[in-house]
Amino acid sequence: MTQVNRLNGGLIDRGTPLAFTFDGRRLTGYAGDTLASALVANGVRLVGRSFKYHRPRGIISAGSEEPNGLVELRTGARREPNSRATMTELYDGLVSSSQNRFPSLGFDLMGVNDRLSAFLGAGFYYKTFMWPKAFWERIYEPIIRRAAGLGALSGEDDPDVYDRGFRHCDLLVIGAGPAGMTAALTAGRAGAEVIIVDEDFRAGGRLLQERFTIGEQSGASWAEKVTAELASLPNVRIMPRSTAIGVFDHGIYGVLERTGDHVVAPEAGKPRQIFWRVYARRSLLCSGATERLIGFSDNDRPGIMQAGAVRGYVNRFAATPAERVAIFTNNDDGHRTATDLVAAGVDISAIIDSRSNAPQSDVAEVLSGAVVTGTSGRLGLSHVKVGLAGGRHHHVDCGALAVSGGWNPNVHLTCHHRGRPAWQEEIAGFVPGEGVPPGMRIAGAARGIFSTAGALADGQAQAIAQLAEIGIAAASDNLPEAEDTAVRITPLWHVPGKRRAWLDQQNDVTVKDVKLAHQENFRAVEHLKRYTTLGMASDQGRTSNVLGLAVMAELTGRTIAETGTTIYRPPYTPTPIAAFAGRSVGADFRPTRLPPSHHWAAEQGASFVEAGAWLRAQWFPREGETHWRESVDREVLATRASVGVCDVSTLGKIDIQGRDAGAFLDLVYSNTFSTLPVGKTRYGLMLREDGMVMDDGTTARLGDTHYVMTTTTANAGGVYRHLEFVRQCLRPNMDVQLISATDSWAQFAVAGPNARRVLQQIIDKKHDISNDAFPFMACAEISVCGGVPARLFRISFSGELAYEIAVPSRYGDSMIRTLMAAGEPWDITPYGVEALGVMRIEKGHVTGNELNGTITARNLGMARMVSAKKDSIGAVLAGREALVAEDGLSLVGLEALNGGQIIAGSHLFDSEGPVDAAHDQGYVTSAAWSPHIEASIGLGFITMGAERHGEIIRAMNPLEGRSAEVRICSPHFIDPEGERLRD
Amino acid sequence: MTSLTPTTALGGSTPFDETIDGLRIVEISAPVMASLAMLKGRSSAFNKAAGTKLGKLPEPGTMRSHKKVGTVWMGPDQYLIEGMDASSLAAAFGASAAVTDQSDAWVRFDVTGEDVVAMLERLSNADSRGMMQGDATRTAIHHMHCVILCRAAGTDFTILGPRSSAASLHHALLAAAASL
Repeated sequence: MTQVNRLNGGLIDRGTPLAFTFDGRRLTGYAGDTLASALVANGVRLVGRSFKYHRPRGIISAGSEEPNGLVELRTGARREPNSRATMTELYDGLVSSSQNRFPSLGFDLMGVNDRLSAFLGAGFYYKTFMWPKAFWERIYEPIIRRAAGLGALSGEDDPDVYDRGFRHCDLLVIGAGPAGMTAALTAGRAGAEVIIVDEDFRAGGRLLQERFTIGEQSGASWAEKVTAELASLPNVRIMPRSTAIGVFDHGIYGVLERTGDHVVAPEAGKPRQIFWRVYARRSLLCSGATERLIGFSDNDRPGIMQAGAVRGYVNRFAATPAERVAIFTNNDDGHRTATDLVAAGVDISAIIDSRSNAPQSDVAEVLSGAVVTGTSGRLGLSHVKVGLAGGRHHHVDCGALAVSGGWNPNVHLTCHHRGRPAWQEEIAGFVPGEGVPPGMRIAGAARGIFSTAGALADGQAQAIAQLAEIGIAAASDNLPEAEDTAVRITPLWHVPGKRRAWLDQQNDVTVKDVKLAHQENFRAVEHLKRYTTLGMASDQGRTSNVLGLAVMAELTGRTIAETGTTIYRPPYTPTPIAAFAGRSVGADFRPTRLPPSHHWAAEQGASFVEAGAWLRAQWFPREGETHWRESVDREVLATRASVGVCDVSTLGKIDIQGRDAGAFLDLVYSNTFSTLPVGKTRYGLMLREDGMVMDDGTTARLGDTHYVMTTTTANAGGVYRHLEFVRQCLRPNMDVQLISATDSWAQFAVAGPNARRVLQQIIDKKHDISNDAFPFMACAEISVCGGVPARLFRISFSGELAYEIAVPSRYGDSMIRTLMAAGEPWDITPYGVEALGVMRIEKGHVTGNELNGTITARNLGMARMVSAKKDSIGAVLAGREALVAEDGLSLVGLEALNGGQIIAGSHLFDSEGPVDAAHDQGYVTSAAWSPHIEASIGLGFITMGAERHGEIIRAMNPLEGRSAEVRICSPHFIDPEGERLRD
Repeated sequence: MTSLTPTTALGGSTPFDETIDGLRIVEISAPVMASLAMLKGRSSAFNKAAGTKLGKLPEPGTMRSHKKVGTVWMGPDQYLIEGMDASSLAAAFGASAAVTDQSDAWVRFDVTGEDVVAMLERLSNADSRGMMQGDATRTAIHHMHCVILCRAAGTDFTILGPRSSAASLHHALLAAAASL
């Protein structure tokens, strides 16, 4: 028989039965059920084993505070552990299983932990596993991890996609209970942009779980009607299945929307969850309250639940946890439970009310001044032991015990900016205190106003107040009549007893653990929390924190207000990392930039490499080449022998204009640019304020007031930011304007002795690029291919006769094809960044490897480039004593001897002697096989390097166990006089 | 030698144009754009030229159009001009402004349809729902520096992104459109 505990009524759709499984059992529920309510309806009480002691556990709540009902959902790659059954919307085909048990839920071998509990109390890790030290990582931790813990990950890639999103509103209402819905309605009618979020799939909050009426209708119908009106307002957005998980700076709220968790699998391309960043001018926290349990011996037996949850299952889901239910309460709420259950046809064995002045009940026997002192039943409750007022004991038969220890306002989000909740005696709970996040107000039960009428009125009033602050006038409305009972509670935190009384069921923390923490002087709440792990589980101690600190307060003799509470931090409920990542996973982790010749390079079968965000061609393999170096060597030799072409569009290009452009460049570069003639290009060295080299590149002067700066690929963004900082903050009076032109131009290096001949084929005839007319370092705005505007720079990174030619990016693809065709008579060879790197090392040109942030112009042998005739950024600090020391590092070339190989990153040592930090003389920054020298070569920095050319030393790489004998030489392996450049 | 053949930012010979569930994403090929920045101490000449060529200049966060030339506010004294080439602008503004051709700096996607705002909400923290016709904002989409222009509130937007990232931006737009 299925659904043995299903009652009549409820907010479920009996026309839509849903099949699901739990631990392989085939069960049925209805649309509108949660997994938890369907399990309750099917009479399943035992749903899991506890974290530490593997105690049998059942569902205790009907909301996101659930500490016990954690299950694995789905199978295969979609398997998700630690899912709260109470928050899992039932769908057809749902597969669920219990976790943290072996071999089965009913018979769990690890249950032996429970027998050993005397040894496993608070702090036992710290006491037990101290010695020997080496055992912790290898032996103790793996064993503990296997024994404790909850569900297991699938280990497979998540097949679903997750989105991030951004929404803006005037008022964010968090929680769609009576306060939240009234607030949203008030604000919505006033025309404000409203977003109302609720973690449930149906709006109404507690109204769905109670039998209250609002005006003439049931709470649920009222909620339905308000939802319909809210939905009709274009300025209101209702977000169900959405949890506000955190409050961040500047009115930003994190909201996790579960768009695809209530179906077997989301449709292709649709996200399973969306992590929203909500920018709210004001927010209203209407998060309600959570019911506390009471500590008593064996109070974790399946069947013991929050009284409010029992009412919720009965009223909303038409499911009772048992045919006979007993109630244990310290406030009037327990009596309401009895009334509701009896109305639904459930037997009440007794109302055990700890108050001596307990009210009488029309529906059940009230045991006034009595407490529950123990429970029994294998794998589930069968009866409770009651200590009566007179001291006698009494057994009460029941399949479930509904416990009400009072209600804790859900103040969590008010603490995210370090707000401290304040104790309120009348409700025996913490309410939001000082330090509530700016722009936030709290309404309804979340601030201790527990009656329905109070929630409606407060929701309206707080919404009006919030909107008034941002200049939106909202009108108050006549509110319908609703339940308005006062809170009557006499706090009872725990019932003394010999057996363990559980406070935090998710982390298995008992009253005894709190006593132990007290005994061992971990008495401050933050110490209590960490020593016992109270409240440190994924439920953040929603049902346990106040109990724990109340017990501590009793022990220390202080009040709860004095004891205080720990701080809550985001996220409010567990949030998948995948949702934070959104689409930024795998190949989409970050966007890429493609140079203009990318498609052509891909057609050539190029191998690509990431350079910053750019995807650059690394080399172009040809048929028959089996090793990358064959391709690279060929590209280098062909370029040096005839002509090669390389896409260099990735270099940063900054357009600089204004009458002070020259003076501006004089400031940001260590050398002088104001004197550069129009039509010329100059190499520039840019220093940071601290005197270290920031970047280098060439800057061309295209007109009196117009320069174009080139930066390295990697530093393009950083240099641009630096220039803007100088322009806007350091020299706001200079007449200079900047704009990035990196993406505007497709720029190609054409290098090699035949470079000019190739370019002459495509450059319009009116432009003379002969050596005389267009010498080394010349630049010009020209046209190519019959009128396409272009820029030509005679600069060389390779050390050959070389040009860089730029055309508007739209012509980039066509340009590379045209250059390849034009260069055919000279066997033009495309080369990638690997060959580019080899050639620049051969030439001794520095790049990011050398400009590593610790290098000065002097280290590079470019001390003379720091002009003393003018002020420039970094010039002063570059003169610091240590930076100008005679024995400083200087750039050298390194050539491996005897066929050895130099590895970049190796450190340099004398040919003999110890290899340790004390004898370290420098390091290798770049290394390559030089097909020109036919040896492994490198660039590096070594103490007094400029004076040591010819010396033989060792390049050591202990990390890889490699070493090489190397000769120090000039960094210019080819054409040290630069004759090729000027040819 | 023949003239070079242009390609669109996405690398095609014809611009991308696709409609996904009523959401149309069109790549605008060869947009004519230039940056215009006022030089120091030249405000009267600048404003005079602006008055003639561009009409009233837009306030921060907005754009205006005048005789088919659009002006987008990009920063203090800085504008992005649509529909007038850099050389005409340079001629009109003379020494009062720095002009740089931006036609090849951007990829431009025009997105239209009832769900455009829902799509933009998945991409950018700009308040696209609150944008009115003529609103313009710099923003970031998946780390890419972009500009969103509102051509008609709720239904018609232009997204400008770095040309070199056209493929990544396009991928992001398609994924967002498909995820609604």
